[in-house]
Amino acid sequence: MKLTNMLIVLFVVAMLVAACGPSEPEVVEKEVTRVVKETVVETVIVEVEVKTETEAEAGAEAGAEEPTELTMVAISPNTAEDPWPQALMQSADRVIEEKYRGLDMNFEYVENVQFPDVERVGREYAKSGEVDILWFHTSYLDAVSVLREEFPDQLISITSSVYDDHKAGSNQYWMNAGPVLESSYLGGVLAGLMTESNTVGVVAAYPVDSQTMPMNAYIDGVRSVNPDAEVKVSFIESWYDPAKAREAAETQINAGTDVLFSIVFGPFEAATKHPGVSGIGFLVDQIYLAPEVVLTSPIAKWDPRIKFLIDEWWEHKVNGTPYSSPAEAIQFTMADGGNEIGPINEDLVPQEFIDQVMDIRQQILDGELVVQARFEIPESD
Amino acid sequence: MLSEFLNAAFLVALVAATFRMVTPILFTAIGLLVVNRGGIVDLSTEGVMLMGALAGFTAAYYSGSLWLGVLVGALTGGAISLLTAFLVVILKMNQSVSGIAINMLAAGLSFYLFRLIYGSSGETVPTVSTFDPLPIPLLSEIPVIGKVFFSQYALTYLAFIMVVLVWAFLYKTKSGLVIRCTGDNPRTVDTKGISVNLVHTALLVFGGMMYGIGGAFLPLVATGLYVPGISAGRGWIAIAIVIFGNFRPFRVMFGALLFGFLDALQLQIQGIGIDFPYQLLIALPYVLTIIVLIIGGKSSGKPLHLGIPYHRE
Repeated sequence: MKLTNMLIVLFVVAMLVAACGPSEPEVVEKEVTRVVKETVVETVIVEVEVKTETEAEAGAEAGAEEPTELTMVAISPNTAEDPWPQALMQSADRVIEEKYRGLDMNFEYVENVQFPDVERVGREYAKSGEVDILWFHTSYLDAVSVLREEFPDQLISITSSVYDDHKAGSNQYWMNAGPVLESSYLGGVLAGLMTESNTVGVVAAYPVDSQTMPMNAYIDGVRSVNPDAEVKVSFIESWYDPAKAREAAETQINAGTDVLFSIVFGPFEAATKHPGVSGIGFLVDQIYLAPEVVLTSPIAKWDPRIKFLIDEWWEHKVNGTPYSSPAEAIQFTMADGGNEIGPINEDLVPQEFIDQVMDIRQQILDGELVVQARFEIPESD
Repeated sequence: MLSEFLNAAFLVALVAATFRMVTPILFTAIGLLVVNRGGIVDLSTEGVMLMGALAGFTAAYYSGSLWLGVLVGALTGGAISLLTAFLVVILKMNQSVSGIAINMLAAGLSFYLFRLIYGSSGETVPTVSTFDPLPIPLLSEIPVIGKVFFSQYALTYLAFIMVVLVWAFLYKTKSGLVIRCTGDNPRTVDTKGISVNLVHTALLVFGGMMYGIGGAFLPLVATGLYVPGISAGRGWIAIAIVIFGNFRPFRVMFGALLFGFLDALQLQIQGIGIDFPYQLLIALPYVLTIIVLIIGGKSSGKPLHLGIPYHRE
């Protein structure tokens, strides 16, 4: 074989190996020993929604054998930097730290799984017999429909904030993601209080349920304390284009916006270049991204959802109870611990505004104020 | 609402945004134009931009110097394109297939290296402080024009200066003539004793450096952070723009500005709440590119030997 031909063959092989790179699942294993930041509201979460450990242990005593370990694997197209998996991983960390039901939980986040590979990747995990809970991203419904039939004893969860029918039932649970309804409202309250130009904005990805719901909640929050405030709305028509999101934010700032709700990466960079403009993060505490502009972040807390699945798995494992998911989405409100307003940046927000936000938060927790989920596509005033 | 849209301040903001948004695409498109004019089809732009973005961001992150980031982004782009040159110039492989292969390699490699360098904690995203705008003294004080043209970022000025330099080089120098001849009839160049392989390699390295700067612009100017896939299709848009611009520097610049303007316009329309289906503006540039391809026909400025490996007999 000629040298050039050999080089060509070698190169093609190298290309194929490299090209397989992004398609292969990248496993992100979480440290069990990670220190978890406790918030004021965390005790509320556990008390409100999930079975207490005492109850859980009592139930377990009736069963044959108590497991001591549990493995949960989450499969997603998102890379770990995305706030959505960040929120999931941070929630898993808290459950691990808590040793819920006395379990040593192992959590893996499998990122960047492309659609044609989902079924294969999910099957490999299910066939291994070592995964107790398989958690899938919302866009993987087709693969999940196949796998749930193929592995009837495998607990499968699909997560979605899209309110289409996810055909849940038996071993397939539909965890509604809509995790930031009330906290987005509180973010809006803070924005409404903080704005000096009386114009606030929101930059989002696409006009879909998972975006429009927190957007509308934010707008409702703004209007609740500042009925005359104008709201600017931009969709960048991409899940992941920080440069375009930054330009959308620049546009809104030029239109007078001085508080930006940033549902996608990018707008904070615009805010840092314009004195007097601040931002609100999304899904995880994003103050670290730009401490000089970020006021707070509505935080998604998956903790009660994870615990709900652990309870279902426990019943199946210990007492032999068949999996029987409800057909509808399983939801957790803020009072249930499903979402929370993140730390408020005390360097930027006056104490009186913090107190006002926390008062309204308490009203929500007490059931005196109910935030309505609205899904219509908001438009700029 | 329409009166607000026609407000002078708003139009200034719109045009200024156009220049900012078009910068990374223009760097890549003008680099690709030079490569194309030498007769090489290069589809690796998106992947090379990603590598340039990662390398530039990483250099700035660890050194604290944004300009070093730009330099490293350029050098990384050039290095990746050397690999392209090895495939298409030395091995004479199919240029389109090679470009796609390099694209896939760069996309996978950038993700792998990102994980290697920054880990995968999921807790935080690394960030850098970005470039500030660089108003040109006196000129930036001119009403309207100063704000639009002379209050931009240094890299934005550089992108437009590169258009002029590339035009002057291609059309006003002997070396430029050699490049254009290589694209149309490489045998003529060869018979003059000039190495076609050397010309092609040099062009690809130059092009790669431009793609790399285009990529580095994104984390170092626009966002302050690197996330996988940050180029978001801009490398592919640059390819469409070169075709739209009929392989001519100023037409490519015009095409890039049109793409950028329509994108900036749809953001403005949303931002001020004009009732118009902004998605149409997002699709329009691509529709126009297809129309240009259809009606271009015989008047196409496409180099005659574009995409055909040169074999010396």
